[in-house]
Amino acid sequence: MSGEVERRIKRLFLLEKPLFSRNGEVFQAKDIVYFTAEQGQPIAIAENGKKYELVQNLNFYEKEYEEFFLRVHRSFVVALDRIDGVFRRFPTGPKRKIARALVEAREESELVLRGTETRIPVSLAHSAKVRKLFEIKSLRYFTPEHPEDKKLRGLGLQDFDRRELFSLDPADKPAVEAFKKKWDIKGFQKTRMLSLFRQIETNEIDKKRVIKNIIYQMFRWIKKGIEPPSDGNIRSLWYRIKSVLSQNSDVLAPGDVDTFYNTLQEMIEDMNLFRYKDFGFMDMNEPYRGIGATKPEIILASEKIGHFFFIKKMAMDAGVSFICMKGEPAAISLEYFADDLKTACGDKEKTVFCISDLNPAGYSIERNLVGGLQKNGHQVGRVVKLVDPTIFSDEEVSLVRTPVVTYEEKGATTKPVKPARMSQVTKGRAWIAALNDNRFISVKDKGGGWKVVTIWGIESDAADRAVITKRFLDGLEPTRRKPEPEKKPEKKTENTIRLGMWLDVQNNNKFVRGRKRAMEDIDDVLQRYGCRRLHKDRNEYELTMSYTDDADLDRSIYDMIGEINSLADMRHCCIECDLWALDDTDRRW
Amino acid sequence: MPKRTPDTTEEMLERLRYLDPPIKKFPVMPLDPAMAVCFLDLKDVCYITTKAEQGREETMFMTTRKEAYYSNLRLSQIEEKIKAHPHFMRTSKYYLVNLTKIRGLKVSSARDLWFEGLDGPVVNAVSSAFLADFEKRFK
Repeated sequence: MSGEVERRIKRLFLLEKPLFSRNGEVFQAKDIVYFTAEQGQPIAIAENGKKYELVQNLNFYEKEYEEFFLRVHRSFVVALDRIDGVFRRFPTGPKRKIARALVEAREESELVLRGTETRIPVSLAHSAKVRKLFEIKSLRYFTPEHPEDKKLRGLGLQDFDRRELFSLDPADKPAVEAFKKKWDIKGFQKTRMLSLFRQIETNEIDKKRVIKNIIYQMFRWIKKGIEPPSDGNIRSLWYRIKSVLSQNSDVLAPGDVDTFYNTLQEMIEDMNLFRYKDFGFMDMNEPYRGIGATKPEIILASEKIGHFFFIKKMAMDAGVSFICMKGEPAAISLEYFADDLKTACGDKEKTVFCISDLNPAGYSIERNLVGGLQKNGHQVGRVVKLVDPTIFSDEEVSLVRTPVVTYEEKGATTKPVKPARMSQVTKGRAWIAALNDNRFISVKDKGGGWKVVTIWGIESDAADRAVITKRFLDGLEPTRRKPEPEKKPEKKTENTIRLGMWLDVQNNNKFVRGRKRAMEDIDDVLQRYGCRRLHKDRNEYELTMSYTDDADLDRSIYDMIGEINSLADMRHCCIECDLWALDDTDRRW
Repeated sequence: MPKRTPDTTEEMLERLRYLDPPIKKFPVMPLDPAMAVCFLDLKDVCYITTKAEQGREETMFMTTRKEAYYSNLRLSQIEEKIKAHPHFMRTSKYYLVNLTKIRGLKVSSARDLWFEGLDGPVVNAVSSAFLADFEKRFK
């Protein structure tokens, strides 16, 4: 026991024992921040920055003061009670193999010591000692981690303003300003960016992590009510971020816009961190969807925008919801549509009637629509394909089918025939296996044991619309409400009018293309109105429109112009359009 | 005559431990987000308490500089880790206090404590269950 007392007393005064430098100066170990070596000469660095040339080598001091000093690197022995923190270390020496670099980056760190600005490196060989001493699992991040922090770290995110944000009152404008000034990543200078978002092995900023963290911060700030939501589309958000960044760190170049899009998509669609709607982005497809008045839980969907009027009419007659997609359903449209559905019919089980092409892409669109609804909290009980192989006779199939993918096969070897890619072959084979209809696959012998296989598909436009309508109404039957016997709909007298139309479509500017495709899309819509081009080289059309009253006629015409305008806009084009009644040229729209 | 030497030695050892506590630093979450780990001087800590916000339960270290540091360890785990530190004692279900930082106390059924550097008192820092032990050690 007395030995222990003696040891403790000795320990108590050990740091005050005088030490002598090589040139005879006296100093005490308690004033020393760290021991190191300069050009082979061991030195001690004191709190005031003074250097003492040492008589003994570093091993001596490490051993002599082993309870007070710790070797953290071949050339550094540091005072334990001066260690204030650990930073990640980013060695700037010659490039190492990346695998090695990653292992080392996991362990290597720098110590901040009280009494010096210099950061002391902790090498891989000595990091275990530091971890053991402080009973921590990592020098790279704080442990034990909260599960939320762990999840964010895994995603490359940091919510370093979390506590302050939680206690912040959004109504307290000066406090909000001060908070933003302190934590807004967009306002960080380059050096701060570098300390927070540095790449491994290079002294450069990891742009993707910067973008990710800015987006995540914006989401949390919008949610808190201290940042206004975006009032435009994703590109306007990019410009909002870019303009502020360029004044401060300027880490993002105009070419990083794709990284921005991809990162946002990844965070929403893969990481499920938030939704597009949380940012207030506008939905460009808003005109092509609607919620049913009487049976909103039934959804009529089509993958083609050209079906818009067809399904809108069908949906409105039946009182069901509808959505027209432009190919694969856009996540943002599904978010808005799903929320509107939820408002209209809550968690009621949904039934989806879908018009999609008879090919792998069409089936994928249908799956993604259903998946998107489910992801947004809806239960889909029934999915009805309105266009499936059964509605086509053998003769019709042979007439209207188009090749989807062609490949060559020999035993277990498969080769796609250009322009097909192997991924398309795989998808096509999976689709045909699920379809189980031999009319959609043909096999030819090529010789040498090789066979040429073609998988065929049919565009949904090839299906008879009357059949689709019938299938929809038949499918609706089990869920149809009993008609109210007494109430008969008012019959309105239908009038028709012949209209002339002048339509010009032009590209928005000389740098974009799309006029031809826009014209094709528009022609598709105009056909629904029985519109006829008067001369193939002139922009004049004639159409007949039915209407109940003047208001109905105006509405129908402006709906059509709006539709044409949207289609042109999607192809980076603009339109000029003029309509007049052929019987009364004073009536113009 | 009973031997008194062991008691004296033990007492000396305890005094020495009090003068030179075996644990000086404790790892906490850094205030600077660029830092990975922060080592807090336990001699600057007034008290350690539990705190829950946004559904997160954390343990907070309050320092004489009025700075709050956090750890994800539970209070009982921290108590276990610093049990050899003679300055700290458990004074309630929610508090571990640094006895050397107490600058005032209010006597009631429990005890409100005033700490060095902090403005207001910590209400009910000492609960009745720990009161006897607290008074014994604080004297």
